[in-house]
Amino acid sequence: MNIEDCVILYIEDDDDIIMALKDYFVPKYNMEFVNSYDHVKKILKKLRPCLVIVDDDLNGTSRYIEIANDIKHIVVPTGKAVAYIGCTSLDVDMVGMKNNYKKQDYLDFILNRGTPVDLANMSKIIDKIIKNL
Amino acid sequence: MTKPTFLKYDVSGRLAKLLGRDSVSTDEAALFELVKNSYDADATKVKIIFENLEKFQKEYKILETIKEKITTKIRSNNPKIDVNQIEKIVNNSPEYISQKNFVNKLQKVTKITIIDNGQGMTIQQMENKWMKIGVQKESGEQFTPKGRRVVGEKGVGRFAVEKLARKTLIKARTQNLTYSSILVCDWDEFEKSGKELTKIKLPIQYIKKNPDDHGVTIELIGLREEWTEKKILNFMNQLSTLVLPEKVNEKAAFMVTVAYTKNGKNISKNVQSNLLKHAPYKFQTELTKDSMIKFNYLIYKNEQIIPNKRNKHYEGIIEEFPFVHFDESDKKLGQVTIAKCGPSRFSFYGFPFDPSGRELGWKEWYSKTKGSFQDDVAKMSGIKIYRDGFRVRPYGDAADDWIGAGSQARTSAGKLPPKNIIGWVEISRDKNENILDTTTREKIIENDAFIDLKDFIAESMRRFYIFSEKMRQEIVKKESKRRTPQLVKKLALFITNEPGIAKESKTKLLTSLDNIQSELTGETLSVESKTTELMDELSAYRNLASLGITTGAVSHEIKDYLKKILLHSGVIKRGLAGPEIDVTKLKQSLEIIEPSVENLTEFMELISNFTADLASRKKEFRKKLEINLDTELTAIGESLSGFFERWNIDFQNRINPSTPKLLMYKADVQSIFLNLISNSIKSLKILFSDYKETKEKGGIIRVSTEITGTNIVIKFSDNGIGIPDYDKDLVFDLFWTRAATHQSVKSGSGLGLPIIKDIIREYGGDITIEDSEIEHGATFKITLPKEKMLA
Repeated sequence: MNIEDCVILYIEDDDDIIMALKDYFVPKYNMEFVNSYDHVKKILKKLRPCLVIVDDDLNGTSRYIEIANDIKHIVVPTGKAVAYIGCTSLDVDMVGMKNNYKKQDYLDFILNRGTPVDLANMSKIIDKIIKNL
Repeated sequence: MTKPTFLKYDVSGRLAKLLGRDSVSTDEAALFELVKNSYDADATKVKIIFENLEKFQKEYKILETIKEKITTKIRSNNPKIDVNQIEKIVNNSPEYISQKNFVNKLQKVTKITIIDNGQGMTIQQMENKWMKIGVQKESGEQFTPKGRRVVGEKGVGRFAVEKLARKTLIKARTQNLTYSSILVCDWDEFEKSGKELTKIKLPIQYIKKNPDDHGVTIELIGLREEWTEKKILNFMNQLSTLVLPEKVNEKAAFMVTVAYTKNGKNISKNVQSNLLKHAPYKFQTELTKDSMIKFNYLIYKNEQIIPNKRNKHYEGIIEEFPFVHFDESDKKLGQVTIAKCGPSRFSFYGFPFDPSGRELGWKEWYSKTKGSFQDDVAKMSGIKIYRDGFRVRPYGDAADDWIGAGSQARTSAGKLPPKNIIGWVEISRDKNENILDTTTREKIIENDAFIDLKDFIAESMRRFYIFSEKMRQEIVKKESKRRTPQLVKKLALFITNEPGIAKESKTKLLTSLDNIQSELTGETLSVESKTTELMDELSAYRNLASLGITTGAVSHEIKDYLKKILLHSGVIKRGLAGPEIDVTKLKQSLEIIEPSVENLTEFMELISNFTADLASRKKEFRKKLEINLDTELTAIGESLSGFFERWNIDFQNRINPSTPKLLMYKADVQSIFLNLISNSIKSLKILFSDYKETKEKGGIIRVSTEITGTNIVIKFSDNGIGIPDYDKDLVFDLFWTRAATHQSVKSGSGLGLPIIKDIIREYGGDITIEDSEIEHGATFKITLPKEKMLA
């Protein structure tokens, strides 16, 4: 799939962080943001994204299982190719978390502490996923 | 026009769809209905075979790829093209049509076959029961010949087959008959417009069979939905909880085998579970006819959570107590009463894991099992209801915590959340006649009887936790002599894992702890001065641990501040390097960076001041100072103001101005305040995460003092999640902590409150918990004797 054909949805609860992520990602990708899990279903129906990036902490709660199920119920039945990945800025057991996410069919679970290296790595992963979609 | 003298109902063929696809919630639930039919037919074995799925799934994926490829091509030629137009072009593409036809052909031969060895059905039974909708069981038909309680009562379960496939073939084989009856049903016929249900004729054929052969075979042909291996395994997992384990109820036991193909190889698996024998906690309670609750047995296996060993197996009636109601708050017990639900039995299997998935010391049991044990437990977890040996759904499903075990685990230490419990309550239609189904058959009416059943389970669990805690304390007492060296080990582990302590300090602390460990485990500690020196060191570690605990409580926010600083530095860099500088945008980023830096600076000042104070504990400088509580508390409050603001917490310093200065080590005062504040922050975070509306209302942390004739009293209150009565005696135990399920609250170390208690006792004082001064929450009351505290 080409980058311009792919709508990416980034789920992150902090507006300040969204502002900076927009500045970094939007020039390159067709990326939309949502800041609360309450709106995820609606946005999935509206955008039918091909890639969903889920921050592990949404207002203190991890919602990756619910979001994976929402994607499976809303986007997958449309026949559209969709991938989803998780990310965190916290010091967590990355191997264990990666396994947990993979069990819910996430392609990857990555670190985003806001460093230039993390952001570049994220870009690389997004490019690779879209290319293989 | 003649006016009719009566009207009558008629039934459209679409009723089949209404009772099938529109009534049964999932494919798995539909298959359950068919397994129930086998159970009612006294089958001892059921085989479920999935056929022709792999080829269909493979070709279906190719179809999707073709669609995607065509869509991408269309979009690249015409980016603004409408989605409906794309759909139209794709549907008319020869490549897509050809593959779609192929896929449709394959789908028509996908198949699930259910074969049982039950009684089968005669032509009369087919005609009068299978073909008649809503037929009521007569009183003599409430039990099967083998004595099983019939579970498919409403006479609509057979329409589950409509949900699963387009075509059904039922082959009934009755014992002693020489022929099988084969009924074919094409569900598409029922959807054709204008067809009346009773006018549709289903062809029936007869073929020869061995008179000894009996049972029913149902073939579901042309499946409506995809059945992947994952879905089949998930179905098997759910099936494994459908009937009770054989040892629990022999009448209910019947073997279910599932067969399917994977990578061309045939796979056949029996539905069974061996999880229960690995459960470290087990108990069973019985609610008798006269509303007494009896513990029939209770088992612990070797537990090493805390430095104690449990390997207890209590059998026989170990405890007996009357049934009681909980009041609305679920905390205090109500009056002794008669349980309207009738007699029942509750079995409980507990599997403790900590939130990160470690086994909490049960390794020697869990490691005996292959694969991911925790996942297996989670799949089967929950407290389920079995009526006459058959599962009543959805009670105990993943999202159905009908007992409220999750909220109890969050608010009280040591209790297990539903995902760590496999349990079930057994009821029957005869003995529990007040427990009634809703008309959809998918739930139970929440009447007084059902509430009493819930109370029976809740009370059993509450008693179990009290009983187990009593046992634990007895063992801890006995092992107290061996305890101290082990605690030092745990402290070393905490220091090793605590990110808030600098690497250099860690090495020094661990070396000293090593020395302490060898001293404590040695024969004697004869020299008094040596003891004093060690006590000094322990005090220092205690203070350092307090700092670590505080850092842990706010580490989530610290990382958020750092992330914002890094991300917005990037925004500024890119902004300055661009062709045009957007001043507004740069200002916005700076406005986000500034408070983050300020909050971090204040927190770092707190840490550096604390470390400096700690240095005064060195032997040559050790000296108690006259401490002004108000000054200390104000400084801490300011350092943490950013965190309070972020969580909408009102930090109220209400130290009485007439409170005298106290003769204490400054690090001790700071340790006490920091630990209590950290505790309150965690408690408020949990409350806010559970009840979003409470965050808007805001949290309160209040510190006040009172002076009595002999004591200085410090009261520390918050309006957080609170501490239940039955945990109040436990929270000061070392390493006792409540489970954490929130991202912003990591599981506690269980060190904070015991450290405070130790410090206060060294000054001759005490700390207790009182009902909160504020709404909900908790109040800690610290009492310090004037004679020891004043200069």
